[in-house]
Amino acid sequence: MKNAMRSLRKTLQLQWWFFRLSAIADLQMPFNIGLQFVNDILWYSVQIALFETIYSHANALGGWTVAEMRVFLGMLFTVDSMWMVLFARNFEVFSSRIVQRDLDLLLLKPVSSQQLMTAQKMQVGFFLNFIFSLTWLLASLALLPGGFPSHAWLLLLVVPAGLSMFYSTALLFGTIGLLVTRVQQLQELHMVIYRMSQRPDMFFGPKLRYFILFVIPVGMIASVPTRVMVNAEEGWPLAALLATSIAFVWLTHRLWEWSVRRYTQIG
Amino acid sequence: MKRSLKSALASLRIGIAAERAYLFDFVVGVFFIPLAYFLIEVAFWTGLIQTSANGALAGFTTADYLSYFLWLLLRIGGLNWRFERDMIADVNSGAVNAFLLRPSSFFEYNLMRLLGQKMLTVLVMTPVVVGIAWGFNLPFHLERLPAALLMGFLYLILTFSLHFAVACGAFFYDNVYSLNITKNMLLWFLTGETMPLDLLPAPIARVVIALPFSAGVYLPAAYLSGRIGTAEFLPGFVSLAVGGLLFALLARWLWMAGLKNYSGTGA
Repeated sequence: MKNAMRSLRKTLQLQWWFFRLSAIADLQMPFNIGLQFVNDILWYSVQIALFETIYSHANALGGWTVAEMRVFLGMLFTVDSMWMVLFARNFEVFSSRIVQRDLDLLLLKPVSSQQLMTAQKMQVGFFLNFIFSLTWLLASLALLPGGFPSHAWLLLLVVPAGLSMFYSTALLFGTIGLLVTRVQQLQELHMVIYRMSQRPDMFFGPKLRYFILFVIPVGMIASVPTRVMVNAEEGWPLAALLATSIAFVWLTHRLWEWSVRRYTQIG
Repeated sequence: MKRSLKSALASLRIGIAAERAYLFDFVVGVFFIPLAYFLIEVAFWTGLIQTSANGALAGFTTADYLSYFLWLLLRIGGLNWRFERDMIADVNSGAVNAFLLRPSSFFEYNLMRLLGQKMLTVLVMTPVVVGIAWGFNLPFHLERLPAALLMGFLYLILTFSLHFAVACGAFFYDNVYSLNITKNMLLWFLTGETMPLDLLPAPIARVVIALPFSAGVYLPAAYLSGRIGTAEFLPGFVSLAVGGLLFALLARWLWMAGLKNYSGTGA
């Protein structure tokens, strides 16, 4: 227990230093930060335009009106903006770092190779997007027919759970890079599958729903967290979200460790 | 003339060969990713229409939407992030120097390489598109395919000029990747990849369809699926010609100015 606490403190301390270094680097290019903000706002706008347009042709879809759909979008944007701040940059260069054998050097260091590969570079500029997304999410919760939900505190659980699902699915695809010669297209495949998280799960058929909720659980990134917030009478979404996120984070971590061992043995 | 044609064909062959270099990557990139994009849209729009009250959206049935999104399988109007990043990196890193000494230009080399990649995808995926349309009895006008493909490839040249202009921005700024993302976000929406553009409110739809970007997905996809007729389709070639000329001039101007700036710094 004491060792675990020491290890956690070391990890967090290192992460804090990564954050500081990334912030110093990013603040050198304020124009770039501004463009990053605009880009994500554009992406949000496309998603909003898509659903607002669809709802201009229908009153309710899959039991959700436009009010619930706005909460879903807020959840998606919030998780995505946290992803952009904490991990996105590392996964963009994940496969090229493996090809360039950067990992060999990282394996010599006395800290977690997973942390160095997936969380070393942060993009602090996207913090602006996080503020925007959270504001959108809270505003859309307040605009629900029943008013601002009393269980809004659950956001503190469901948003990190959604983010951990995002992280572990990306890590799953990235880890395959250690096993396959070239993995760039596989990472694109992950982005394709991630697109399914940008749609509420009840729009998909039963088999595909099962796939995105429990096999490659991208449906847990935004759709299930939204269900927790808007369909409070449903008990299973919160339990399923928490159980799946813990299990998937652990599984992908073990897979990473196994792949690194195999990579080291092959040399 | 003969020499120029020869070098263009050589670049085209390089594009095809580069795509085929890694078999696993080739199969994923040419077959699975386009298929995954299509299947996700199929799953989403099918579910969406099934959950709507009257089994149709804006008067179009599930089959109409499936037929529309078949165009995504060909990936002609789709974005090519990796290719664009490589082109920017060539300017950023100074690798462009090598092209200045070669008989073919940087523009010609990259354009032909992109065309080679896309031709290969079209060659592989066209039978799949026709097979799906025939197998699922979708509204699909096979006789319109040559005209749609012509529009698709003309759009590819237009959009390449735009990519090239952004890459030339790297002559002036250290980081233009964010600008590239801004451009791609706009294209993603304006081409009609996210949804058929005619779903937008009428005044906005008229403007967006009149832009040359609608030739990327909306016009050919809607024409093939019978959503629009020849009278609505043909003006797309006019906007392509005007837009193509504008973007080509912009790309040329930025290249010349960038080169002058680049040489001036002693590179």
